[in-house]
Amino acid sequence: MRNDRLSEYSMIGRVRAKGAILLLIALNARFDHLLMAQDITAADRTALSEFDKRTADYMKTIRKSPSGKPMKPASDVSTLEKERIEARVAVEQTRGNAQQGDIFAPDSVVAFKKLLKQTLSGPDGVKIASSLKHAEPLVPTALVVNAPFPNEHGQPMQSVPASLLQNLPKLPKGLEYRVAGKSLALRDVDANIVVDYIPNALP
Amino acid sequence: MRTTKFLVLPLLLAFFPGLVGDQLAPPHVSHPPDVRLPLKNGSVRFAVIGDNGTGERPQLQVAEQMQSYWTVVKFDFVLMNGDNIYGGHKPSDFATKFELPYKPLLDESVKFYASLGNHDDPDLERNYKPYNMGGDRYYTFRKRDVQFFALDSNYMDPKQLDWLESQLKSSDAKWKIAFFHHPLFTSAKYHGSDMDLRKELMPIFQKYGVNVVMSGHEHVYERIKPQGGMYFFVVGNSGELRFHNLRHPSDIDVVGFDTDRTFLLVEINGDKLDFETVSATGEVIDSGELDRQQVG
Repeated sequence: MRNDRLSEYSMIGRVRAKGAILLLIALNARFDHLLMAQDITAADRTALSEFDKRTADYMKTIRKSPSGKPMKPASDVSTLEKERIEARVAVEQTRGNAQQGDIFAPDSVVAFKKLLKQTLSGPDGVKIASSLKHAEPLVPTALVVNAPFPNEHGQPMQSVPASLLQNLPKLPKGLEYRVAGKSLALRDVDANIVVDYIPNALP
Repeated sequence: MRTTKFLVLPLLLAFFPGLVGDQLAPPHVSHPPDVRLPLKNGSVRFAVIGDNGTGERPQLQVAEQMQSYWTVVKFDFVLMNGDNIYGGHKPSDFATKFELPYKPLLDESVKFYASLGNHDDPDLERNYKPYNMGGDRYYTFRKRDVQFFALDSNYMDPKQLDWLESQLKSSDAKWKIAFFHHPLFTSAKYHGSDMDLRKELMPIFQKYGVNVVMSGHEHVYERIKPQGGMYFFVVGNSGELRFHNLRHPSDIDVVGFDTDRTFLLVEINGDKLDFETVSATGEVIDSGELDRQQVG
């Protein structure tokens, strides 16, 4: 009789323990983004602030160049193409030796990866993942700093989910984020060139 | 051997119906078409196309139908739901995929207002004057009582959302129509509804009383049951077509059409919006009259 009762208590204990584990798993999934949010440290914030300065400096430098002006509307497509080439010349003249990591410096890469992970594992993660999947992802193409963004030969440009953009640092006019497969690229809009990128940025 | 050929041809046509339709069938243009819109004086009349820029025969067929309907409807402008130019974006592509197909309409001073799709070159196209985007990825314009909001759903950044909210807030237009590439609601199987975009846009649309939303991306035509009190159309088959891609049955479609290309004709007069959806063969596959709703 006593053994039966002990066995019953033991079973209840096991069920309770399992319940507690399940509850913890559920809570972890529900509040995972909050836990992740704590991962953004003061050092990360400093790194992102430095990133802001570098993007602002980039646009200032490009705009100072005589050919680094934004495109003006035209009816003739060849005129627009010419302006785009001039914009590339401006980039070539001002930062011809640019390398990957100049703008997305290593400390900011850590912060960006945290931000992206936080967003994708947060409450909108499923919607964002679905949106990315529906956005006709580019066939993985090697991004190259200062080279044209790989959309000029008829490839579609992958759209960037709104919720993702809301969680990334704001950019000055003339620059934008683009997703290419798992990479996060920084694109100069007028020159349509890759300013910098983070490979495997998306989890 | 001969029997095999007889079997193979119908099978090929069953699986690839575009084989004949795309290349060989001559355009069927009725002159003048049987138009049922009210055609009232002082109304706002426009056409809507999407995913059109292939430069191939079906796009030309739709363009010819648009031209034919224009002779009666005299619509002033055309909304483009994106994927305006597929493939390359050389000057010759703009010629064969836009300027030539719509030349008769352009010659009649019909204006085209473009939004950007994922196949578009955002920088060349927003600056291409015949698209009337004024160098911007997103913009607004007004025709009498109707205000239009062209959005860039490829890159819905906070700046664009803020702009949209402020423009809608300050608009006193009776009708507010948003058009952009990615559909918030669709029964098409290929991409499906963009849930993330829906989450961002629906609260703004509802708060500021958007009446109608036009999208493309899915290469079908759909008229969706009102969502949040708003009317939704998908017109993404004015050049491309994804044959038999709609889910049947659909919980959200009032009308779904995925067996031919289409364009949409709209006339707005007072509190009424009349529409006709015309196929590449000139058949009216959907039509009706919608009342202006008090949204928000």
